[in-house]
Formats: sequence, structure tokens, C-alpha cells
Amino acid sequence: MAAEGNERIVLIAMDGSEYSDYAFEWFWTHFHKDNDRVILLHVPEYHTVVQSPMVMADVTVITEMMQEEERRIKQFLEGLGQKLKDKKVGGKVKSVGGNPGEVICKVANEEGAHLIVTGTRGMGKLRRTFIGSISDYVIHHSHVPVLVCRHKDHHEQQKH
Amino acid sequence: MATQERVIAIAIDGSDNSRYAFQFYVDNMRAANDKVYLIHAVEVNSIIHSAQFMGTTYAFNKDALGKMFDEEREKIKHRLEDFGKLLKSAGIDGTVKSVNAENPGSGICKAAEEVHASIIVVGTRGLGKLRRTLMGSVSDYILHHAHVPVLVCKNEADEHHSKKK
Repeated sequence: MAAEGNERIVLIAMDGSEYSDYAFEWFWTHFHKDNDRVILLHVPEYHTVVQSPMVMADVTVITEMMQEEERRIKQFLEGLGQKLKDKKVGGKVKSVGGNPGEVICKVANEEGAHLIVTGTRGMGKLRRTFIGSISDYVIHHSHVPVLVCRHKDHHEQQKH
Repeated sequence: MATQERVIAIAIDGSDNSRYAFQFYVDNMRAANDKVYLIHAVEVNSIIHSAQFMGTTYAFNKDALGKMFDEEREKIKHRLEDFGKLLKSAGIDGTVKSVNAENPGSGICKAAEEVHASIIVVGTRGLGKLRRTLMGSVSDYILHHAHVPVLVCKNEADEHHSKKK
């Protein structure tokens, strides 16, 4: 159990959506302590590239699309690194491929995280549920507490 | 710099789970100018559905029912006092709030709103006997209905349960 002065290792799942951005900002404004070590974890998903119909045509098309995806991801990761620099917080940016929910829990374990921070939803287009499948997975499978940051626009949706 | 005042609502029901959630707050989250509210939701239905009530032939006997409610009230009073002691021993200047609601989850969400909580801390399971799910109905409700971020504190005992899978 970390006492107030001890270092906390916090893993924040970032997928590039406004929800994870909000989670990061909320964590920063309300929760973080000076000696936190923050791990920004990105789980790139390449299968979305391969599923596109164009792929059937040409191998070069696939490789181009994947290279484009790699570039975007690299840019995203650099952006994350910059976020940490701007906030002057110790930590690192990690990019691990695989099933996002499983990867988040695995990395949290490996890094000895004391806390996992997620938004409620990610990049998915279908907005049928209040909690996305990945944050749902993490809540149920994590071995450490999970901070679920509800995005502001959910408030509007719930005002019925 | 998180130096602004935060209002923390911790949902408690007397179970070990909620005590763990409270302890996690104390050990990992606590900041000097936090305002802490321990929100206890009293579930009136549980008394009426309790085995004691169902088992008696005097189900609608005013005295028997009254006695059960009195006992429950004493139990709750002790529980709230215990939480008051917990706050004191942790050196936290907090408030214990008890709410009545048909649905504990909604009672907790409403109370959290009333005190303008910036976060709700909740354990995963409470006093329920059936351990079929990894998340209790109250924490699940709060997760889906709260207007603020929710910190779900997995109990260490649950950890062993899920590791067995």
C-alpha cells in the first residue's frame, strides 16, 4: 500500500479518442500527485486496416496502408510523449499490439501499476452503450482499481 | 498541481469491499484539502426480504415488524459509528451521510451530486451472498449513472477469485 509520499504508478489507456483525452486531463486536474509515474499505453489495432475492402486488390496497397497506419501511430505516440513532457511528469509511452482489454491489464500487471485510468468509450462509431467494451473488460479483469472517467457529453445524453 | 479542493464521495455499505475502497482512498489518493463524504445507502427492501421476515408466520404482525426495523436501525447506527471511527483514526475530517433509497445505487449517485462530489469511489461487491458476478449491482449502477468519474476498487479477495479462472 503506497503511503501519501510514495510513488504511484498510473497506467492511462490512450486510444486517440476524445474520451481518453478527457480521462487524461481529468486525471491530471483532479487526481495526480507530484511523484506519480504515468504510463501512457496505446494499443494499436492493425486489423482495421486489413479489413477494408480495397485490400483484396493488391499486396502493395496493403503495405502502403499499413505504413500509413504506422506513421499515424508514430505521430500519435510522439504526441503522447510531448504531453508527458509538457506536464513535466515522469513516465513513459508504450505501444503494445494485441487485444486492447487484455493488453491494458497485462501491461498494468507488468509495470506494477497501482491504478488504471480509462475513458468510458473509445473510437467506436456505434454509441449504443454508456461504457465501451474495452473499459468494461478492464473493469472486470483488472487486479487493481480502475478510474473510469465519464466524458462530459454523457451528461447531456443522460438528462432525459 | 492538484491543490484545488476535491470533494470525494465514497460509497459504503459495511462490507469488506467498501472498507477496502476507503482504505485505497486513504493510502493512495488522499490530499490535504479533500472533503470526504462516506455515503451509506440503506436498503429498506432487504429487511422485508430477509429470511427472518419470510420465515415468520407473523409476517404482518406490527410488533414483529417493528422489532426487526428497530434491530436494523441499531445495526445501521453501529455501522455509521464504525465509519465515523474509521475517519477519525485515518485523521480525515469527513462526513458520514446515510441515504434511504429503494435502489442504493441511485441513492448514492443522488447524494454524491448533492455534495458536489468530483469523484465517486466504490468497491466492487457488497453484502450480497451470491458471488456470481465480479461486479455488484450497486457498483454497476453507479458506473452507468454517475455524472462524474468513478473509481472502481477491486477487492484483493476478488483478485484471487478471478485468478482461479
